[in-house]
Amino acid sequence: MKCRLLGRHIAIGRNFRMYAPLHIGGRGAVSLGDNCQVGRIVGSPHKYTWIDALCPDSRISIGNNARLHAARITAKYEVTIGDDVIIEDAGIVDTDFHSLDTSRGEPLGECSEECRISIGNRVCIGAQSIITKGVVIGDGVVVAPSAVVSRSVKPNHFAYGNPVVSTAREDSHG
Amino acid sequence: MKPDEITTEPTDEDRELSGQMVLPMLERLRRVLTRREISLGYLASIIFACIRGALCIVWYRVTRKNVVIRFPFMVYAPVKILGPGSVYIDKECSVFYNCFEGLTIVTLSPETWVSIGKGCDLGGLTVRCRDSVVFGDKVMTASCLVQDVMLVSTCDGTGKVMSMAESINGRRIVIGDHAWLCASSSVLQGAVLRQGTVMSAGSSISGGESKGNDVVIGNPAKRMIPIDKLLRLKGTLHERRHSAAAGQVLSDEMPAAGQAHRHRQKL
Repeated sequence: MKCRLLGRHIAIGRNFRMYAPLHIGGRGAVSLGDNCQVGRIVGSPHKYTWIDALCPDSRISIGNNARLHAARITAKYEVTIGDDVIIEDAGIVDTDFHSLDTSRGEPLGECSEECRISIGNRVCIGAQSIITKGVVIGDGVVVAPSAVVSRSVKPNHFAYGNPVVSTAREDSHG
Repeated sequence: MKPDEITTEPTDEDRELSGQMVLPMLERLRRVLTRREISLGYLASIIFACIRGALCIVWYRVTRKNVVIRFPFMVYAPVKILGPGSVYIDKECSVFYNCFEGLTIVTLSPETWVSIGKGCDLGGLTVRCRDSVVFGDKVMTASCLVQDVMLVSTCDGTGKVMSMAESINGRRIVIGDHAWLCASSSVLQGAVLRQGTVMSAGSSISGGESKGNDVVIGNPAKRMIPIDKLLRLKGTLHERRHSAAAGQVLSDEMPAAGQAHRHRQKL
């Protein structure tokens, strides 16, 4: 277990189960709900689940019954994830890290209101997909493997491809 | 042994002396090696891969009832077959390294089955399936993903299956003969790639169907270009370029002669 609790604002709910290593880094606040589970995908070389809250102001909150399978969540501003979520081997990043000019300094024109990511309840995110800054994913969305979600997805949709294309799910039930 | 003896053909006397089947074969092997048609290292790697494949076959025959691999199976990279489902790999398949990965097959339920045809070149292939995946003969793959479910972790047995995820069932993937899956392409649930399809690099197809002999382009795949059309297009470009550079004919004889000279010097 690489989770160093000292001096950090980390809150983990009841009945937390860990089947694979979890790394929580950065200086921001991280909170996990009840009945969360951390694991890995069978046969995949990736086994670490990374949760990084980079700045002191950044916040990552994950709801109840979340299942993180080698997920990589990095926040500079805010990442909010709802209940009953499955994330496997996907990257969730709410910043570009560097500016476009050659100095590669701090990215310009990023603010918390525009860049925060919010993911609804009952969302499934497939392997090798990436969720970029400023995306709002509604309830009951399924993100296909190897999708790059660069714009928001409506509730009960099926999102796939790069850049993402979303269609209404046929088997949606709330 | 003098260099002259290595390069010259065996005389009639030698043939009479040997008089058996083994010695001419050894003679031929020696000639092949000395002429540098195949290097010794290459031969050793082939033999090593063959032995590794045989060990792999024996290992899965002993440990798993429903995994059948036919001989010869050339293994240059690690092979992982996990899960309760059944796997059938036909003869003359080979596994290569691609993007530091070998062959990984993960079956997620006992009813799952994966079958791979004759003479496939499997490099860095990852198959994860819940329903079934069928590969044809002579399929070539680079590091790519073939997955017939949206989410793998729902069925890995580490926890309770969620009601919503349960509704996302797998759908069969069929990949025809002579298909070629390029690097980092992904074939997702319900895709049917007919004979001779080429998945271009980085492309992804989910639920679509190719007519055969075409190139699948894009993520998500929107266009499928027939290979004939593409070749015609490239042919016209080639002709134009060649007509521009006419008169410059490369002679093949000169470099070959130089190589032979160098070889003689080495010996």
